[in-house]
Amino acid sequence: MRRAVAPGFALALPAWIWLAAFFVAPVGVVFWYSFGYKPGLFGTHANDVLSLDRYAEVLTPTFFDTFANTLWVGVLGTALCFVVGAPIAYWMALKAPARVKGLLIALVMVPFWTNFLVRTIGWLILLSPEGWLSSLLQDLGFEPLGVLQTRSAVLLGVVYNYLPLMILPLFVAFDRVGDVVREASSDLGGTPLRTFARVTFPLARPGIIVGVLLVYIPLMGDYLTAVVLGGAKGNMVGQMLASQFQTAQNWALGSAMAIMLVLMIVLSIVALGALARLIAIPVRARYRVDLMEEVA
Amino acid sequence: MIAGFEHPDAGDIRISGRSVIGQAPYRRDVNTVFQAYALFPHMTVAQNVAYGLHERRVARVELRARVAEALAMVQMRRFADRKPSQLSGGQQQRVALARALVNRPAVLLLDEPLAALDRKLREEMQLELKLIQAKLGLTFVFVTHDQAEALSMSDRIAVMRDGRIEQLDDATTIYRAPVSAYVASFVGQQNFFSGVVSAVGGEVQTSYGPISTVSTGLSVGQRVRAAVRPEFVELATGSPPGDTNRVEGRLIGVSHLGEAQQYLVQLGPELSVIARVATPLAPKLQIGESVWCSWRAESVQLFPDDEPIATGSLSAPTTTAIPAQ
Amino acid sequence: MTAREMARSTGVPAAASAARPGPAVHRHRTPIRHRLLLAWSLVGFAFLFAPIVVIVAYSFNTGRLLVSFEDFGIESYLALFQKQVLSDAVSVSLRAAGLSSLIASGLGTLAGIALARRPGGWTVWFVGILLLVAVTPSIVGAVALLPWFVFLGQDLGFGVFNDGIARLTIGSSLFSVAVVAYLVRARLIGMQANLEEAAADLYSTPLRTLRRVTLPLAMPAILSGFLLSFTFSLDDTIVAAFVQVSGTTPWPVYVLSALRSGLRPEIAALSTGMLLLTLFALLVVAIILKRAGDSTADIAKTMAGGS
Repeated sequence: MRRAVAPGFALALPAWIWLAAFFVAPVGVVFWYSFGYKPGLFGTHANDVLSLDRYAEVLTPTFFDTFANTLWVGVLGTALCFVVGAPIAYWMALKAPARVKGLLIALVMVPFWTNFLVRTIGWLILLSPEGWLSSLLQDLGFEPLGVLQTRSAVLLGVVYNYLPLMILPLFVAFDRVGDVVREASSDLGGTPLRTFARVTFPLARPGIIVGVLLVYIPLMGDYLTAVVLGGAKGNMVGQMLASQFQTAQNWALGSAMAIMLVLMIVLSIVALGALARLIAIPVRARYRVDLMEEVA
Repeated sequence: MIAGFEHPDAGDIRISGRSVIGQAPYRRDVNTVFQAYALFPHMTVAQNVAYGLHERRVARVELRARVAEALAMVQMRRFADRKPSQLSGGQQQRVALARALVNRPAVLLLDEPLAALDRKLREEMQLELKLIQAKLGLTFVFVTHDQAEALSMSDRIAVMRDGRIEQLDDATTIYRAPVSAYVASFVGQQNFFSGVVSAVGGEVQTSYGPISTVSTGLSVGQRVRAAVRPEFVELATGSPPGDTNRVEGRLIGVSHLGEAQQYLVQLGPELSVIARVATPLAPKLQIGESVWCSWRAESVQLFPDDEPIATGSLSAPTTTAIPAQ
Repeated sequence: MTAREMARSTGVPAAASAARPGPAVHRHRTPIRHRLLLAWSLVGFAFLFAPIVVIVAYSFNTGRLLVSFEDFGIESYLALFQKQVLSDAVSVSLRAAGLSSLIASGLGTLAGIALARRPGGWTVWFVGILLLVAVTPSIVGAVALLPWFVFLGQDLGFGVFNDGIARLTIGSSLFSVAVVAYLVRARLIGMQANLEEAAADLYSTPLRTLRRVTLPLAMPAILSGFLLSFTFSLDDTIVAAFVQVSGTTPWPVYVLSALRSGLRPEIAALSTGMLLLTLFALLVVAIILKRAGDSTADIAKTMAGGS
């Protein structure tokens, strides 16, 4: 009866309208622009002739190299984030003394909530050829640091920037697994490595997927890290499409790049998910226990 | 510590004569039935039971046969493909038992395994556990706070206090001849009288009159507690014949326990005596009536007065039951 | 108390079966892998804090360029109060963040209540949009908003969309709406709906029930959602960089432009000040959530943007 008085839809309607007006509509417009073209030196876009030409343009080596580079940084960066972050999250959730857990989480929060641009500038200072780290290395007889403006610097930057975003969901996931089932596994003869593989990891898997996606998606669309640390060689799609809107004033091409970026993210996630499932098949088969087989 | 999750500060733990100190849990020939079952939620019942066999690299055919056998033993064969979340508490308990048993460990550790079950289910499982233990001939170490459970299930009982074994004996000895007031009061009920040993023959002078015992080994003048179990106390309306111990008091309560009646008799402002009589033999008495309690000298046990006693459930001692092999 | 707990509390063997008193006293050693984990984590935390420590340290640089440290001094902090352009940038950020978090918590709260209490066929679509907002890389949302504001403001003539503060407010509110809705929904789902049914039973009209029962119940989530939105908005760089109008530059965009024109130590001072402000807001959020009975893990989830 309460439903009849005020349908839930009405309460959600303002938020709905707000998001439709300032998210769905503009993204829709970008989608529309991506089929148009840049009419002249001073125009930004025109849609009187529709074509897939902008997408074809994106696929030429000039631009596609950047897409490939972005995918490389995205996959490798996410993997490195996981490799660096998972042991930390595991230690925080399952091995650290219970009374310091809150403090540890607070410590992970601090970099997470430091302005993205600011912490990247922190690395800029650290890695700068004129910085103290570089002069320290020179005093020790090494070359001055030349890592800035390279893909390695971007990789370091993204691993750093998205690491808290990996640690937090992984912490929650490992924390939820708890000690009890892991002790049960040990009691039944599971070595620490096997306990991780057969109990801790499968139980934490939903959280691990969340963490990986939470890092991978924004990392693929990263703009600031590449701007601050990357320079020309560390170019990423975010930077490239931004420049289409800001400097080149070619909104049609920029829109096609934006749509291609989203497509690449979605497709690569689907592909990685399928790959993970494929790998899981023999593992599942190995531990299937079908008693009916024996009866028949 | 037996399972290997904690490490003793001192002492030794030997299984089949070999010390397991410093040995990781996964290397010990001990399996545990955990208090909260600790089943793996992401595996089916059959996968849970097969876990230990997988870890020990048991061949597929043998593994299947042993899992099937273990599940049949706890009557969970039908549920082999369910997930633990689809099972009731009692069923999860059975799976936990099968998961431990299937490995045929030297020692099966049961850490208060029945605590979460309701009374009827608990009694059924007690019986089943005993049957399984008898059939397999394994050593079960059964940890419980329920003294009735300990008495009914074990071949040998270790009563623990503050991490130390107070007494290690068979159930009858623990009940009949407890070594300390603590054990005496923890296992079953006791009536305690404080007093002073007045004669070497074993007479104790209390504020409710002399109590004669057959105990020896205590010196005259020593302060002691005399303990009498409620089922050894007889009740009568008149002064009982013979030279048994006797006190007079007022009946202030009767409770029906089913197979027995329990009477509460007030002797003085601070002391009441509990008497328990099998229902067919129970006398019909009125509340407020004056009654005599009597018991024989042989049923009295004496303990030094300075020993602490277990006060209900607050002290939370632990009983470990160890059936002999 | 289980056997293990007891053994832990007393430190004496509970192992009745074969425990014999002996002179041997065992010192248990931490396994190597635990020490490696600890070492790895310590290095990880050092890594996480390295650039922040650098920024804070370099904010006391008296040199002309941020990157080369000359001497220790607080000149850069004094510059925050002397340079008009810096205080303007902070003021623009604060105003936009305040408006944006108000809008986000209002819309998000209503949406969260609707999601928790009146789910229906529409829920799927709505959650779909929220999810889409949350996972679209912000650069895509940012480049999309720029032509859209131009279209609304210049082609359709809605003057409000030419206003810098309005643009920043809208731009940074979108993600926040999704976060607040998620937080409010999560809190209300954790509570029984029968409190509201009881209110309705006591002749409370739906509107009064909302005001007197539902809103107070959801208050911790709304407050923390508000503060989270505020900090999100305060830190929003990408969307702001695209939609800003010259004259109303928020502080991260000022930093971004300084990156091109030359970083001075006052940038580090500004960043340190804003970091302290953000951390203070988050501390308040953590206290609110702790009071409302959340566990540490719950708080961690909330702080990570509710994802």
